[in-house]
Amino acid sequence: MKRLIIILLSIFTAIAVFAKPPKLNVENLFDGRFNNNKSVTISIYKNNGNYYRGITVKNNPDIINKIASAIEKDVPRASGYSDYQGSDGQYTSLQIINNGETIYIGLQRDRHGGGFFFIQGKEKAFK
Amino acid sequence: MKHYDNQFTIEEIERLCQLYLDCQLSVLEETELEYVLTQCDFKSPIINETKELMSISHSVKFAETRKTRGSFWTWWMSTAACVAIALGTFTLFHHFNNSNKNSNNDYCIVYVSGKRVNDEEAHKIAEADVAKMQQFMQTVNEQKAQEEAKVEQFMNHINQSK
Repeated sequence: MKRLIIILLSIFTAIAVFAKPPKLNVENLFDGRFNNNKSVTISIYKNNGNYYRGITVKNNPDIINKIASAIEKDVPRASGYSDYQGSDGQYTSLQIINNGETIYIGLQRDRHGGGFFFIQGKEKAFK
Repeated sequence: MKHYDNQFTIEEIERLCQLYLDCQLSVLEETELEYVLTQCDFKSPIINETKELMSISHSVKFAETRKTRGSFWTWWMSTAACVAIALGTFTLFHHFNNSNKNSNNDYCIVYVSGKRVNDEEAHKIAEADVAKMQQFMQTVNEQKAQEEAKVEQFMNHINQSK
């Protein structure tokens, strides 16, 4: 009986832990602070269990630096990380696993202080 | 101690033992016989057998007492387990129910230059953004493959030099 209770408690604890939201630093960038910024386009899109959030920045190095800083804070949690300089700008990419699903994070920086940033993954990964 | 030796003869005690073995004694009489047997020194096959049975009877009673205690804990644990299962099932059901509700709740919100755009335009922009993201991931994967190929080539070169 004790064994049964321990198993049940373990299962419920595992479920509780398993269903924990990721609480990423980059998610805080979508708290509404850039919604009224004229150099920014923000997209929040959910379709068929897929969740996408993106920010396109035109000529605003300050915002790009804030995004880069938030990504840096999430790097220790990443299962995959890459950063390289391409002909059309710098590419930073992260993969973070949560609830058994992968969250893809990317930032492409151009040479004019602009860039394109996104978070994408299955809806389950964000719960 | 010798008090009962004086009071009962061995034949009387044997007769009482026989009644005990035939289950003819009341509980009170059994208790008294038990007391008598502990106090007297008489020995005979039937007296010895009765003493043995009494000690077995004691151990059985003791076991029953333990079982009663055990059954309380079993009942308590079973109740706790049932409550845990019920709560767990409710939580899971609630969780998955909410998940299903949310997954049917598709939406698209887009702000361009500080203003929220209408749904139609929002969908177009979001789909364009998703395409851009796929292009980004393809570029990153290609770059990664190129880097890995370079590393492999380098390692092959090192191995050949050895």
